[in-house]
Amino acid sequence: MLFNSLAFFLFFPIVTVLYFMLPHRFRWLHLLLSSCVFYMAFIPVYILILFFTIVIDYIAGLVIEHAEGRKRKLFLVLSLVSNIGVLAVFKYYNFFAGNLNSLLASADRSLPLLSIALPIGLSFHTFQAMSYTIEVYRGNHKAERHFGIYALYVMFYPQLVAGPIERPQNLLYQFRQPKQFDYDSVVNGLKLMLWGFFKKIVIADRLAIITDPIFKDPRHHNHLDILVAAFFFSFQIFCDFSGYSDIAIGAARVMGFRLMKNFDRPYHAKSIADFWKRWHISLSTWFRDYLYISLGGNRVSIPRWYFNILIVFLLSGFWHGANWTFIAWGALHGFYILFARATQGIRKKANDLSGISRIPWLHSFSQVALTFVLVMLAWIFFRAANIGDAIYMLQQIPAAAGDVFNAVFRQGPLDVKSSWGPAFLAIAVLEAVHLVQRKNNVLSLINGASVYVRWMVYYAVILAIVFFGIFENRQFIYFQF
Amino acid sequence: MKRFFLKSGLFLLPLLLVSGFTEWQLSRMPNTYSQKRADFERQLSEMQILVLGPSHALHGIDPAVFSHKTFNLANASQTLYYDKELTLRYLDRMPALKLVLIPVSYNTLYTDLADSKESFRRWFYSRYWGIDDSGMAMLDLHRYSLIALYTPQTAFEFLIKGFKVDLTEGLSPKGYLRYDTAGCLKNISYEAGAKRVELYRRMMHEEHYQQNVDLLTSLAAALRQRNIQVCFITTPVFKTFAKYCEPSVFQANLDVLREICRLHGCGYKNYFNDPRFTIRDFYDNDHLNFIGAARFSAILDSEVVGRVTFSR
Repeated sequence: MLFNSLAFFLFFPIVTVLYFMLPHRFRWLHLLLSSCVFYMAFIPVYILILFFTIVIDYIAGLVIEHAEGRKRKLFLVLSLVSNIGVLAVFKYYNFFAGNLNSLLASADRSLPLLSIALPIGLSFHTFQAMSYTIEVYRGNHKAERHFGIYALYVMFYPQLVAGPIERPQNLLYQFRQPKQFDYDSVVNGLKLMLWGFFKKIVIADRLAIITDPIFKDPRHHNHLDILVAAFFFSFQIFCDFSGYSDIAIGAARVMGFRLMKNFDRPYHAKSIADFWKRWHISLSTWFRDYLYISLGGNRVSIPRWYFNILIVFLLSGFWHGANWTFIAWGALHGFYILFARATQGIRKKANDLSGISRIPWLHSFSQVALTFVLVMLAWIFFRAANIGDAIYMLQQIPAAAGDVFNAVFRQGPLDVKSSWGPAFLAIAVLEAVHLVQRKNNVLSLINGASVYVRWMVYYAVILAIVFFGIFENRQFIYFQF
Repeated sequence: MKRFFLKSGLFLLPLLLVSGFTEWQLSRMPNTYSQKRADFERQLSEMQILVLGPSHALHGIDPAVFSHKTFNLANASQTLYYDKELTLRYLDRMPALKLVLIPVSYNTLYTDLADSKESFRRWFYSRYWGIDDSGMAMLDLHRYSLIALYTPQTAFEFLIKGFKVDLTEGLSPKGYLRYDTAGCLKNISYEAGAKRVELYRRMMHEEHYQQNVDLLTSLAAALRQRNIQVCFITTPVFKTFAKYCEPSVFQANLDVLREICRLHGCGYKNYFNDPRFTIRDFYDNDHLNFIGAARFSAILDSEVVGRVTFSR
C-alpha cells in the first residue's frame, strides 16, 4: 500500500482509531494484522517470505540467547545466512547469473534467469531482522519471547517497506508500553506526515516528471538538460525518501511510537563524511554498527582502515540494488571519503594560505556547495540506467556548467524550459525551511504561533499539495530496495 | 480524543464545504462524455450508421452530412478497446444499425489509453459510460471525486467562474465536435507535424499491437455476425504530418486491415494522403476543421454509405 494512495487515506485513520479503542492487550495483534494487510496490498504471496525470515530470526534469537561459545556464533551465522540467502535469491541472483552468463558467453553455457518480482522493501526488513539477531548475539538485547511482538517488530507497517531501519532496543519495548491518546503526539505526528506528503507529492513527483525522460534517454537531451536532471534528481530522491520517512515517523508518532530520525538536512553537510551522518541515518549507522565496527573500524592499520571504509561503501551501494550503477555509486562515495582523509592536511594548508578559513561563512558555504556537487555527481550513477549512460551524462556536465557560467556572468543564452520554474520554486521552499531549521525547530516555531497563523500554514500546505501535487500514485524510489 | 476530533472537524469544515459544493456543481455540469451518452441513447433505436474512433473521427466526420441516420460516437483518444466496449454494449438496442465506420489512425494499433498521457480519460469512460479496464483500481480517487477527475486546478477555475462553463461547446446532437478554422495556419507546419508524429511515436508501443488487432478482429466479427457492414477508414492528414510517418507502420496497418477485411468481408477506405483535401480543410496537421469535415463526410456518404443497402 502506497502512502500516497486513497487506500492509505482510508487505512490509516481506521487503523489508528481502532488502535486507541482497543484494550492494550489486543493492540499488538491489531497492529500486526494491519501490517499484514498493508504489506499484502503489494504482492500478497510475498508475505510468506516475510513470515519465513520472521520465524527463522525469532527462533535464532531464542537459541542464540541460550547457547554459549561457538554454538552462539554458529546460530548467528545460520540466521544471517538465511536472511542474506533470501536477499541473494530474490534480489541478487539475476545480477550474478546475468554477469556470469556474459562472462561465459563463449562457453555456450548459461544460468537460467528468474522472472520474479522483488518483494517490496526486502532489504529494509531483512536488515531490521538482522539487527535483532546481532544485538541478541552481542548481549545488548534480550531475545523476544512473544512471537507476535517480534513479528510486529519486523512488520510494523509505517516502516515496513522503506524504513527507518530500527534497532530492537529502540522499538521492541515500545510495543509493550500502554499508549494513551496524546493530543500533542497525534497533532505533531500529523504535521510531520503532512510535510512528508508535501515533499513527496509536490516536490519529488514534480521533479520526477522532468528527470525521468532525461535519465531514460540522456543521449537525446542537451547538456543543460542533463545538468538540470542531475540537480533535480538530487532533490527528488531526497524529497521522495525523506518524505516517506517523515510520513512513517509521523504515522508511528500518531499512535505514540517514536522511530529514529532518518535525515538531517543532508545537503547542508560540509563534507561527504558529514553527509553520511545526515543521509539515511538508519542505514549508515547500521553499516557502522554491524559491519564497519565488526571489521575493526579505525582501530586497525591505515591500509586496513581504508579497506574497511571502501568495503562498507561498496556494500552500501550494493544494498540499494543489484546493478553496477549502485556499486559505482557506493564506490564513488568510498573514494570521496578516502580522498578527503588522504588530503586532509593539504586541504587545511590550502585553506589557510588562501585565507578562506578566516571568513567562516564563505568557508562554510564553499564546503556545503562542494559537498553538494560531489553528491550530485554521484547520484548520476545511482539513477542512470547503466554505467555507459552515467559516464555519458558526466561528460556533459562541464559544458553545461560552462553554459550556466556564461549566462550568469556574461549574459549568454540559456535554453531554459518552462517546467523548470515551478521545480526550482519548490526546491527554494524546501531549502527555506531547511535554513530556518538550522537554528530553530520548525515544528516548535509553528506550535508557538497563534492559532490563526498555524491554521494558515496548514491550509497553505494542504492547498499546495492539492493544487501543485502530482497524483499519479507514483511509487517511492526506495521501495525497490 | 474529543478535543482532537472537535478541532479537526472545525479545521476541516471549510475544506469539506468548498469541496462538497464543488463536487455537487461539477456533477451537474454536462461534458462531452455525459452529453454524448444522453444523445446516443436517445437515438439508439433509429440509428443506421455508427462512427467510432479517436479525435480524427470526432472532429472529422459530421453525421449531419450523411444521407442516413448516423451518430458519431468517437471521442478524443478513444482506443479500440472503448470502440468495442461501447459498440457491443449497445448492439442489441440498435435494431436499425447497418454500417459501422471504424477509423484506424496511424497510431491506433499501437496505443493503449492506460499507457498514454491521456490515461485520465479512462476515468471519464468509467464514470459516464460505466466502462472500466483491468488496470483501474477500485480505491482510486478519480473514481469517486470529480475534483480529482477534472484536476483541482480546473475545478478551481470552474469555481471562480461560478461553474458557468460550457464543456460541450461545439458538440452536435449527433456526436460531432466542430473544430473551426481559427488559427489553422498557426497550427500547421512541418515542425508541428514532426512534433505531432513524435508525440504519437511516444504513445505507440509494440506490445499493444496484437491486443489491438484482436480487438479489431473480434469487433468486426461480432458486427458481421449480425449482418452489419463494417468499413475501416484511414482519415485524411495534411502533408506536414504524413511526411514524418513511418512507412513501415503504415504498411503494417494496411496489411492487418486488409486481412481482417478478407476474413470478415469488411471494407477499407484509405484517405490518408487524399489530394482532395487542402490546407483550408485542416485544423491542425492531422485533424480536419469543419470545412474539411463536411467535405470528408460528403465523400464518405458517397463512397461508403452509398454502397450499403438500407432497408426501410
